[in-house]
This record gives sequence, C-alpha cells and structure tokens, in this order.
Amino acid sequence: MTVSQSTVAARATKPGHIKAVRAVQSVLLHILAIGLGVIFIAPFVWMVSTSLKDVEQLYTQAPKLIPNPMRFENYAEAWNSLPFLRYTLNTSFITVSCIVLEVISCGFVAFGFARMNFKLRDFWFGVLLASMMLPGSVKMIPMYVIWRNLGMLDTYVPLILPAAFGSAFYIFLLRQFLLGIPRELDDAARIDGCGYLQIWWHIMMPLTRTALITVAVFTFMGAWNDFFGPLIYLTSDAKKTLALGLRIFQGQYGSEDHLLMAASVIVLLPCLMVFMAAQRYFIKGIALSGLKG
Amino acid sequence: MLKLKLPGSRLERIENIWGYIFIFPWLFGFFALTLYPMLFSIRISLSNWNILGRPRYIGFDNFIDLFYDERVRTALYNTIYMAALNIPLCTAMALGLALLVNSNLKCVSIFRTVYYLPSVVSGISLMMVWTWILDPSKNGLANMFLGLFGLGPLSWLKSEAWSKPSLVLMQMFLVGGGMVVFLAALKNVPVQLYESAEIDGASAWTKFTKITLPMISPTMFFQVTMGIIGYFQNYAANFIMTGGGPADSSLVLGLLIWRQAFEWYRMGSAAALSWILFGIIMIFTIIQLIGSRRWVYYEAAQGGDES
Repeated sequence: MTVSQSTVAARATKPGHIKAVRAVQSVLLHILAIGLGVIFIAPFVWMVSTSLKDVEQLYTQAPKLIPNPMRFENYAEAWNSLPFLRYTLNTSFITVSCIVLEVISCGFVAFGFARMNFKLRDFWFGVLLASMMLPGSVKMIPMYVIWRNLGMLDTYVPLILPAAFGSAFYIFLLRQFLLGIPRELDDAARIDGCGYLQIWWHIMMPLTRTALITVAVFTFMGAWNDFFGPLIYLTSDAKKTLALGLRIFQGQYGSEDHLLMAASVIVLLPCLMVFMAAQRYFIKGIALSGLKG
Repeated sequence: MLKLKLPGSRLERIENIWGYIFIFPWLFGFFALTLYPMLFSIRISLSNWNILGRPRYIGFDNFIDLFYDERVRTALYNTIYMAALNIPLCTAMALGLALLVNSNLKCVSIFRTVYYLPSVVSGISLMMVWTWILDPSKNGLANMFLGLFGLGPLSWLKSEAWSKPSLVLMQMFLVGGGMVVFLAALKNVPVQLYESAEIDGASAWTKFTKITLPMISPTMFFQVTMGIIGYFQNYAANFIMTGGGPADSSLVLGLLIWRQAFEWYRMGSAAALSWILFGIIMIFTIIQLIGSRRWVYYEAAQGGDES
C-alpha cells in the first residue's frame, strides 16, 4: 500500500518538477539565442560605429561603441574620394539586368521541366542536377578566353548575358515550386484556349511569385557583391563596380579604417534594405524548395 | 508510364517542340557556357600559353611541372586544412542554429533573421569589416573580446599560424543558408517519433542522436557534399582579406589558379591546376559518398528515392 501511495505522490509532484526544469531550460535557450544574436549582429554595429569615428578615436583612445563626437562627414569624405556615384550606377545597371534576365529565363525553363512532356525530359533534368555538382573553377579560364576572342572584354556582356541562360539551382528551385501547383489550372486554361506561353506568363509566373522573389533576391546579392567577375572583365575605370571600388579604396586609404568602414556601409546598405524588404518571402522560398537532400 | 500513347500524334509532337523551346535557354547555356568551356579547358591545360601568342601543345608537361611545384603542395595542404576546419565547424554551427530556432523561442523569427542576415549580404564589404575586427592591435574587436578573458592579443590574419583559422572563424558566421536547409529538414521529422520516445523516457540527448540525427542525415549528406564542392574552390576571403599570406600560409588552390592565370599569365598551367582541383574534389566527394552508406539513413518507405 505504502509503496503505491508513494509512487502516486511522486507522479503527482513530477509535473511541477518538470515545469521548473523546462522553465530553466527555456531561459538558458533564450540567453544562448540572444548571445549568438549579439555576436552575429556585432560586425554590423561595429562597422557603423567605426564609420563615425575620427582617427584619434580609432587608434589612440580605448575603443568605444558609441563614438563621441560622431563624424558624419566621414561618409561624404568616403563618397567623394572615388567616383562612387559612377560605380553605383554601373553596379545597379548590371544588377537589374541580371535580375530581369535570370527571373524570366529560370521561370521559363522551370515551366518546361515542370509542366511539359517531351522526349528525354528526365534525362536533361538529370543533366541539370549533375551540372550543379560540377566545380565552376574549371570554367573560369576558358570563359575568359572565349569572351576575349569574342571581343567582349571591358564590356558588361560577360557579366550580364550568362543570366539569360538561367542557373541550374534556381531552375531546380522553381521547378519544385511549380510541381506543387495543381495541374487542373493548366487544363482549365487550355480549355479556355490559352497556349503554353500564355499559361506560363499569365498563370504560372504570378503563382510562383514567392519563389521568383527568392531568385531575384539571390541574384541581386550575387550581382551586387560580385567581385571576381568585374575584376576579370572590366579594365577601364569608368566601367568599374562598387565591389571593385571598395577594393581600390582599400588600396588607397587602407590605413584610414573609419573611411573604409563608411564606404563599406554605403556598399552594404542596399543589400540590407533588400534583405529586410524580402526576407519573409525568401526564407519560405528556400525552405519550400524541397532541399531535403 | 502505362498511359496509352498514340505514336506521333500531332498534339504530342507540338508539346515535344514546345518542351524544347522552354528548356532551350538552359540547354544552350549548358552547351555554350559549361560543356564547351570544359572541353576547351582540357585543350588549354595541354598547352603552353601566355594568352598573347598561340597556344603550343606540350602534352602533360603542365601536370608534371605542377606535381613537382612546391607552391602547389603548400596550396593543397592549406586547402585541405581549411576544408577540414570549415566543413565540420560550419555544418555543426548551421545545425546548432537550426535546432535553436526550431525550439520554443520567443520572437523566433527575429533570431532566424539575425542568424540568416550575414550569409545573405556577405560580400567584400563584410570582409572589410572582418579584416578590421581581426585587426592585430588591441583595438580590434576580436582582441577586445579575448581581452575580456585576459587572453590575446592575437595577430589573426597577420600571423602564419592563425590566418587559416581566422578565415574559418569568419566563415562560421555565414552559415545561414545551411541553417535554413537544416530547419526545413527538422520540421519534416515526424512529431510522433519524439512523442513515443518521450513515453519510453528517452533523454533529450538520446532523442537527438537516435531520432533527429538519423532523420536529417540525408540533409546532412547533401550539405556536406555541397560544402566540399563549394569550399574547395572558394578563395574570395583568402584573396580579399589575406592575399594568400602571410608567407603563403593562406594560399589555397583556387587562389593559386587565379594567380597563374591572371597575374602570371600561365594559362596552360592554370587550366591544368583547375583540373587537378576538379580531381581532388571528385576524390573527396566519392569518399564521402562511400562513407555515407554507413551513416545516412533513408526511410524504407521512400526506398532511397531522395533527390
């Protein structure tokens, strides 16, 4: 009797005990999450903080998080020390062109793979998947030679035109997304007299908006931050991009870290804004892509 | 596949043609921007060419020269060293973050965004910041952090011993993409498995090692494979932050290929080295593929039908 009573008592107390453990665990998890969050954000905060300091605060005094006085002039100084306006326009042109071409071409090809029946479709899709595994470094040198033979060095063509042919990963991502859209929509549209092009443009493209935004955001980040592409292909100063500009800046003003940080903030800011504007779409887009391994 | 087909029906032929019209951009790109350059690269790798004159066919001399090149050995050592550090650490970090944002956190979407942010916006500007954070002086943020524990200051990127770990340290903060992929995998683990384990009185650690890890092992395999392929070729941080230095301590194969091609104009040698790198990546991928049979768990119902 007593044994069973005590086990009953133990059972009765167990939930309270577990609750306490759970609460402690939860607090520890939050501390860990916040600690990591601070570390992940620190580079950005440090970047802005440094960009507002003067030389004396940078190297002689003990470093402070909030600079006093704040030198907003650093930004103007950094901006005017190189043709950053020119670089921004060049980079924007390349980036926007890449986004438009990439979104349309990847959407187009993905529609073919997801919705059309044609000979060797599965074979070509296998080739597409396999091509993602090919190391790209082998292509770098021959591509340079090819563009050089075509007389395309020091133009934006080598940086933009490849986007018109889609990229395997984005095509794969969009195809997975399209497979989740009911076939009845296609059939209904066919009955209403839509051709394949109309189904693609008027029905599938709007329905895959989330995934297309994902592609657009990643293309933006890739093109905006592309360093080696412009470094290989662009030689004249007037055609250079922000990433190259930052590198030149580092070479010329390398010892003035406050100005370098101000310039870096300028280059990074559009990326941050795009990230913030689109993050709720593209985290979902990636998670939905069926990248389960 | 048992669908009754009228051979060569008109509609089928039209759909066939349209199918190829739709995939044409990729198909053209595959031949013109992937296959042809790769074949062309073989030809370049077998010749002596400074890009200005005509390439001169020299057989496998480039490969033989590279085999005896001291620099190639240094770069190979550094590449494997950095990959051996980067891939386990970054995979663990990505999985850890995914577990964290998969748990019952308040404001979980904010944490997810914060951990994801650096990986998305990463580029030369973030590398500039990290170079400044890893400044060897006492005013570098990393050294200030070590100072809190009475350690340091370290020379980080400026020291031969620390240049490689320093770069990997930065790369550990760029694992947001992996985190999101792991998170998707964690969400796919059936809750019933955890519930029945709890009834059996399994500890959190047991649940993690006996349920979570086997269930997400295909994702882990995918991440590690893509990590090997991507990271062995990666040299952006080495180029921008250390330039391969000091004393070639962070010179990796990708960077050496770049130098051969665009600084020394030894196109043949550079192309040959890129094929050697290709071969090394293949070897490690195959090792990983064979090893994976021991640790990757595919659900019987799916019959290994993972893509």
